Amino acid sequence: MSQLRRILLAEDNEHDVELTLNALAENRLANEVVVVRDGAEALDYLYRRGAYRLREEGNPVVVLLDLKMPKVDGLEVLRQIKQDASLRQMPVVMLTSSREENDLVRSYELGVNAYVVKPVEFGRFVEAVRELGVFWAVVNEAPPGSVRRSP
Amino acid sequence: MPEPAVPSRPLNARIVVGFGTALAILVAIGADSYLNALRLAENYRGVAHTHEVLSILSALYADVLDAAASRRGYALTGDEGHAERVRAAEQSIRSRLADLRRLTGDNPRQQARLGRLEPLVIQRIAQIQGAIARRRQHPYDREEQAAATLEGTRETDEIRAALGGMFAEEQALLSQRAADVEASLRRTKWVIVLGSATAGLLVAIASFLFHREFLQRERAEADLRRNEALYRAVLSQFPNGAVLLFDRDLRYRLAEGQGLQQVGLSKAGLEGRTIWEALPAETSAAIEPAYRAALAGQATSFEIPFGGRHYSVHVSPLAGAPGETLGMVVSLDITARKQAQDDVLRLNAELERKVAEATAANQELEAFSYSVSHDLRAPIRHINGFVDMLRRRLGTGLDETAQRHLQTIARASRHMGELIDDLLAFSRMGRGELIQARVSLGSLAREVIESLRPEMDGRSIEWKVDGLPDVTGDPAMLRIVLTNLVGNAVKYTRPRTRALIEIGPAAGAPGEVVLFVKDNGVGFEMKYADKLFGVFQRLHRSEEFEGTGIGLATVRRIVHRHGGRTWAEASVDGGATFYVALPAPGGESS
Repeated sequence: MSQLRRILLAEDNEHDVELTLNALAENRLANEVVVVRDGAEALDYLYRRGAYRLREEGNPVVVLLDLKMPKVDGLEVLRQIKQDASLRQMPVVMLTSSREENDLVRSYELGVNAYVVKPVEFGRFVEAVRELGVFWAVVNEAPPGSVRRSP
Repeated sequence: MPEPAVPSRPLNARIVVGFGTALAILVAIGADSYLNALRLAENYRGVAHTHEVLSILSALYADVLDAAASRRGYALTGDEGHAERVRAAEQSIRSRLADLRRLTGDNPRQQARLGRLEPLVIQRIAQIQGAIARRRQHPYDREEQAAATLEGTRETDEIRAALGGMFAEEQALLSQRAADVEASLRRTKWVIVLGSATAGLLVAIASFLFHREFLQRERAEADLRRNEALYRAVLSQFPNGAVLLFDRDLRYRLAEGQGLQQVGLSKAGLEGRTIWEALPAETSAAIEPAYRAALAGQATSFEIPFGGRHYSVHVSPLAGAPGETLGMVVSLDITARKQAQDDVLRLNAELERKVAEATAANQELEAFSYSVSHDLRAPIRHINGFVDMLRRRLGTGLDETAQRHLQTIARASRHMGELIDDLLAFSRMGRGELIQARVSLGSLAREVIESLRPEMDGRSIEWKVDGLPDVTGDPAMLRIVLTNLVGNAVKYTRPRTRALIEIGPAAGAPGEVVLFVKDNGVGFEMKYADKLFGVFQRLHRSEEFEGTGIGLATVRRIVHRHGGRTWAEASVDGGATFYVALPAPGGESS
């Protein structure tokens, strides 16, 4: 494989984290995933503050955002990313179980790059995560400033 | 058109004719009496004239006799004094004859008699003078004397006869004049008596008519006054407003009504004054166009604030006002109605607010169903996912029974998803009526605590439940409220070795009863406090504290439906206090 790329996964539910990591692992993308457990933590990571103030520089190549999280929800994180010039170019994918049209509309209004509804069937979920990971972390050329890594 | 109350014109004319005739009669009587008086005076002058003629005739006869007597005296004595008296008599006789001629100038018969008398008298005087002259020349001629004495007797008789004729004539004249006077007086008397009686009668009749008409007029005027007083009394009772009349100069002619005082106006302050004199400038300016329009025959209605009250005013031409153009104003105090309208508007606004609230509640319900679709589906997905992962991991190592069990779990999770969808539909339809009953929060709290016993297994919890009030509300719903609050307190004190949970009353706004549920649990950050009561809002990860995030949203919704409010106070690790305020019982019941 070529370079491994960093993926930021913001998800409050540990089962969802595990399921997603499992699905990414099945596609051999798991090693490059950073998991944060709510929106506030996701912003801390992106802005290198709080617990993440010592992390390496550089933006993830893609952010997978759950819509509903404690403290700061996914839409708010998305809004802040797209308002910030240094983060705006980073692709953001909503990964959520909500099929509500309202969420979809608001996400696209805020400039989301993709909106993926988690399927209930695990097999289909694995497939969705694989395609997602392959496209955004491998196929897609990340904007300048994203963290790349040699194998 | 006959108007019975007003005296008729013919009666007036009759009175005038009556008095006029009486006056004419009196004038006629006066004129007649005056003429009679003139005639009487004339008659009296005639009588006096006659008496004068008679006395002159007597005196003339006396003079003639005196002259004869003096001749005889002179004949006897020769005294010249007698001769002198004869001369004086002669002079007197001449002058009397002249008088007689003058006085009887208007009576030809007397003139004729005087024509005969005069020569007789002159001749007799001449005879006497002749005798005296002869005596003087022949003092002692006795015969002569005797002849002289004898002569003259015939002449004297003739003179007497002539005088007697004249005398009789004058006497006849005198009695004629007396009879004339008598007749004239009699006639005058009758004229006066009859005329006065007639005039008096006419005056009496006219006076009677006049009096009768006067009484009628007085009665009519009294009726008018009474009617006016009646109208004014009626108008003065005009409730909640006023009736005004105004003329061409926009001057008030009448002002009545109970509403005048209310705004500091008075009858006296309006009547006789123009709108500019009687009212504030802004008011008169506002009403002037309507007043002028009314005078031009156009009715207008408008509303106007005055003296802190609100009036509905109708200005119209006064139909049937005799002789002049008047306008009528009827103003009605509509402050109360206005107030009611404002109330209606306010109530409408409130209703709109309520509708907005209801809309908000609906939105909350949508958020609820949305969250259900999002959050409740996740565990199902997890079950499904982990079962699948388990199956992959174990692979073919599973026996048939284990495979079946895993399939059952997967199927059950899908079934649960379906159940959740059904539950959502149920909740959408579950907006039932609120039951209103008296609820003892104290006993309800104890029941709730009892029902939560299974979750307190192995826990050390100190309870303080005291002084809880009674409220009016839906017992089942209030039980859900307390179950959620108490359940939360139990849940979030789990890390504490000794949990303290207090339930009691708190101070609230008037008309409210407030209860609180306080714990010494993990608490939360106050900046997220407003999120707390939202549907499926959580401040803790699900692995720390289980839960759906719907409990407090349910609490708030139920409390709102009861007309109350909820709020919370907390700090991280400092415990949390949840408040529920409900309307005090007795507000609408008992």
